[in-house]
Amino acid sequence: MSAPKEFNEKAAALHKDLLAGRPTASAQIAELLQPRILRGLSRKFSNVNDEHLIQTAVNDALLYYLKSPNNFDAKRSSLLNFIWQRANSNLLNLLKENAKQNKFVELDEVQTVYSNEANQNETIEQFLVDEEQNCQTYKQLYALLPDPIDRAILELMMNGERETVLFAVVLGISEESPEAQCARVKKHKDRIKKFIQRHRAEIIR
Amino acid sequence: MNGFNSETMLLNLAMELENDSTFMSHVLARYCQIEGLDKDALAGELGIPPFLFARLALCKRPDADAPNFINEISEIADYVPMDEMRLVQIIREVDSLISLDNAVINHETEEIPVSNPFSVGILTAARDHSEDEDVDEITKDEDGSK
Repeated sequence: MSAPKEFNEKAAALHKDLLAGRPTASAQIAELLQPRILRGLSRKFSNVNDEHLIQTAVNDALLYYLKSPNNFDAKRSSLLNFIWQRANSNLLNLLKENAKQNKFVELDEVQTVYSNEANQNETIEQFLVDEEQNCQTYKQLYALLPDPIDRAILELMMNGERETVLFAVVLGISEESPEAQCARVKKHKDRIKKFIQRHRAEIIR
Repeated sequence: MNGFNSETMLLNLAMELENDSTFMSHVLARYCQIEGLDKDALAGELGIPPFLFARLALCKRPDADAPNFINEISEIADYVPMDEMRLVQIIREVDSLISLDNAVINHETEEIPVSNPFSVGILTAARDHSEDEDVDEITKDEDGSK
């Protein structure tokens, strides 16, 4: 999981504070990392409808770190990545357990997640989300898209929004049938994704 | 954020730390037990909303015997933010109760010397020795009578 440099620097400084015994460091780390990892994991496993499962995976990863911060080696990865990897692994284990018990998640749904990741459009979305807090990228994209509706759609995509309903509101097609809304939203998103693909090199530069 | 409420998420994380005595979450949970309060009531008493209560609970607890205790209290009180004196009062009250609990446990342990296996061993040995002596005495008597 990637994050802006300032974010990782802040997390690294808080880790040092925690090791040094500063009493508020643990709370600051939780406040900084928990929402981002929850958001990222629920986006990655968007087919998992059980939010409790995602929350458990993230909280267990944070607890593992907060109780034994020495388990994290700052030379090997960023703190965000360390906890993200652990939360990711926790969630996969929970999904496997649940699939065995045939409780909440069908195995097929889990597999769908992996097939989505290989999809080119998904890669572009991931690119957008990873760069979410990178103002420079946002400004560049904003400048390249003069149409206000395109800009609003872009903003929703950068926020990781997946529900059709919000895109439909932006496009002003809420009154249409759900099928028609899906088709038009998809068409609009695909157009923007292709546009970003074409301009990706100059955006990253 | 996909249906997640950040306030609830942090509170849930804090609750997971109630059994870890190095966190304020443990102190607050014990205080609630002592005072018969729930978390919302304690947050209300402290004059802080649930989000700040979670923030307080996620802090490491200052050690009342450490020389930088007051500094740590100040840091937490500034961060939450909340009243410093109230925070000190809660920690001291919980610490007093824990000390009292420990004293009671130690006292109960000292009051039952029979439960000490070493003591039981001595008593048993003494009793066995006495019985053996009795048997010897009887045998001697029997031998003597022969």
